Amino acid sequence: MATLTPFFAPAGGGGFVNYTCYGTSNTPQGWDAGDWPDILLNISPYTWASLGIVMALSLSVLGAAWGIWITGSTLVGAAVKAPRIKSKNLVSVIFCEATAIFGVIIAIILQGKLSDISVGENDKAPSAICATLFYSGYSIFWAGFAVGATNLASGITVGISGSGCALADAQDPSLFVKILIVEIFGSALGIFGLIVGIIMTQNAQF
Amino acid sequence: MPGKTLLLSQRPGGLATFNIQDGFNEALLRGLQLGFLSDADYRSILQCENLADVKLNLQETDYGAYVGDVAQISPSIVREKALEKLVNEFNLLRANANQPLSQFLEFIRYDYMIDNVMLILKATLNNPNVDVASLIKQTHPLGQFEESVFNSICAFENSPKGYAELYQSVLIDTPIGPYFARFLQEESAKVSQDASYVQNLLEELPTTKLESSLRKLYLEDFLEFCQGLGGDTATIMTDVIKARADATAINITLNSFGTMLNDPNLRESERKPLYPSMGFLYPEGTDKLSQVGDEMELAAVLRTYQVYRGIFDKHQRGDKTIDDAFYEREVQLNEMAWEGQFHYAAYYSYVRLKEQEIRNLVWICECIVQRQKDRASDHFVPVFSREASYRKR
Amino acid sequence: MSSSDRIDGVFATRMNQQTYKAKVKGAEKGYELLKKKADALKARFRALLKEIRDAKMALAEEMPAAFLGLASAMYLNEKFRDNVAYEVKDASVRVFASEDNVAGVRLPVFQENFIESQGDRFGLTQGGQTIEQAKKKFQSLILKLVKLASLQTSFVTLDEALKVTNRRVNALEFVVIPRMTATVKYIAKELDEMEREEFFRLKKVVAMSDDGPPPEDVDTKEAETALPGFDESNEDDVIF
Repeated sequence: MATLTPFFAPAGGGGFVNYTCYGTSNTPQGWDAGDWPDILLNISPYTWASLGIVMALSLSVLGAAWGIWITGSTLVGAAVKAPRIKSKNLVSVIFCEATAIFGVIIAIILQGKLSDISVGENDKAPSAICATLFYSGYSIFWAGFAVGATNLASGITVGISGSGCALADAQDPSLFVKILIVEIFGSALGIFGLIVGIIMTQNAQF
Repeated sequence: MPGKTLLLSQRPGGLATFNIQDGFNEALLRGLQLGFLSDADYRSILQCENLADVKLNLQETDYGAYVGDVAQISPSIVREKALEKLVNEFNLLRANANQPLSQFLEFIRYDYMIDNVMLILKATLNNPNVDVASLIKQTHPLGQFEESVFNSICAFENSPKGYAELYQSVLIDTPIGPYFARFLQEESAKVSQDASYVQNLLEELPTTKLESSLRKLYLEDFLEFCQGLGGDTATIMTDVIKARADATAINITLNSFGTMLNDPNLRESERKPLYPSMGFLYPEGTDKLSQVGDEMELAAVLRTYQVYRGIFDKHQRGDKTIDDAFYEREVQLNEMAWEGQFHYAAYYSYVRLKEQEIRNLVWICECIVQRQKDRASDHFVPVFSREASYRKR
Repeated sequence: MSSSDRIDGVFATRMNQQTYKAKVKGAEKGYELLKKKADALKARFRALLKEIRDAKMALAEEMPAAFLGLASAMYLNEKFRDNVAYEVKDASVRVFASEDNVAGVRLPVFQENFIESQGDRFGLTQGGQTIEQAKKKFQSLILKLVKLASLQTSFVTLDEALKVTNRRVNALEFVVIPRMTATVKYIAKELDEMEREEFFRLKKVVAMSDDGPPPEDVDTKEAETALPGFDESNEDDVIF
């Protein structure tokens, strides 16, 4: 039997509800679907925050890598018959790379929010402390997810349009700038995530 | 007819995953697309007074490396060199291809393999002592077999044993063998691998029927494969292959007028089996086609199909022969493959469009050689032309 | 006319004279006939030339169209060439040789026999009509070619015959007949001479038999009286 003790007292007084995790329990209470929130409540906000940072970084890098893959393979192939495009179209690769950089920036910013618990020192009620901690954990988690997901999408978008850009440039150099604008709009998608991510975690603190 | 479902990993993938296997190759193909002669190239070639000038003009295009060291230029040499270029490019693409693209490219080659096997069959049936080496030179280089297969075809002798060996080599060693097998099965339910039976079958059958049956089986197989690939590949290839089948059906009908095939008693039994069993016209359109006996009736049947009505109108007005109209339609459809990215149809269309370009070149050269340049506009369809009638609309 | 113009080794005898007179007559007759033949051949020759010219002009018109038609057919369906090469078993045009007689000269004439082939149409799946047109053009072209070949062969044969005839006519006119005429003249002259000699000798014999042995110098006056009609003053000296 593994009885999980919360590391802080939940709001509303009356003491913490003791419960056991599904699968490890042989207590009479057992498990029912209504106990899900308890699992979430028992996951530390630090875990949420760290997962958010991980997702912001890894999904962004995944998107960037994916985009570079799509662009790069096309770029290399197209450059066989039209070598002049090879340095110009590195711009597409850089645009893909930018999504990874957005992820890194957000990861660093989010990382900056993480600290030892300091909210409790201001004579706050435990429930308020608890709410702040949960708010911070969730906001960092979802901000990280938002940034990661938008950057993943943005990376693939930039990659696909960059691939098109390389092919179009090989056919007709005058198309390069036009398709580059498409790529910039694709890249902007990642920036939306970046901005919203920053705003989401503005009030987060530990 | 839904295609055989391939595993996800066997499919070419969509926007995001296509490039994993085929990105480089596709971009290579797009690079090769740069080699198509432009409107300006055609214009300057059309202004040439002799073939030496044509050669000079070609040297400035993608064909430069191939015609550069040719001492004496003639339409047939232009064709030979252009084909050599196409084959080299195709082999480059083929060498860089993974499954399922490599299978797709092989399918493109089967078409020419059927041509070559039919050529060899016809020649050997006509004259068993035909010079095999010169025969091999006449075969289409895209439909070339491996050397061992060639050797076994070379060793063919006009005896039951020889037929058995040819049958075996064609059936087993070549990729188009299954079509032969299926054709023989369809011809006779009790098909045995007995050599004398095969010989009888081959001798009795008009080669036209054998060829059209093989082509039919091949196109069906190809279509099924493309539909299994899914995505844009399936969409575009379905259009292209179906249009090709329709063109065949309409052409057979039109060309049979004035021959025995148009005999009311033979229309159903002889002519109808030649129609491909697919296409936009199939089955109700081909049913109607099998009944028509002259151009008026054919026009009446085609009236309900907008595209073919347009093509047949051109034929009837005498603007163009029906074949030219179909060539134009084929070029138009094949150019559609280049409107999208991340699919295989462009490979097929590349080969078809290059074939068209080679035909264009040879035709223009013929006109120049025969000093009838004013007739040059009779045929050729420029590829990726900005002045094409369907682009102006 | 020098002596070399006549035929050597002909003895001036009456018989030879008769023979050669007949020969001259024969040669003249032959000359007239050959002349007529040569004229007939020449007329035919001119007609042939005109026909050949017309045929060549017609070919020059049709040939480019036919070959362009072939190029069109090849453009629309390259494979039909193999089908023609390996599937056609019967020739639709066959050529037979016959003869034409112009003034005794036999001219070879080619006659074509055209059988429309009943086989399948080529390019059933593609380009059938264009191939059919090319086929029609080449069918008419090959008929014209056969005609031209026939004319051309006749032309060569006729040219040869005409040359031979002309040579014969000229030989008769300028060599054989003059020489024979010269021979006949020569024979006549010889015969005359011989006759005169004979007569003179006869006269001498008569004179000698009248007066016994002849005197040392013969009086010309006696001779004159003995040969009435012979007027020495009107006669040129005959120098042999």
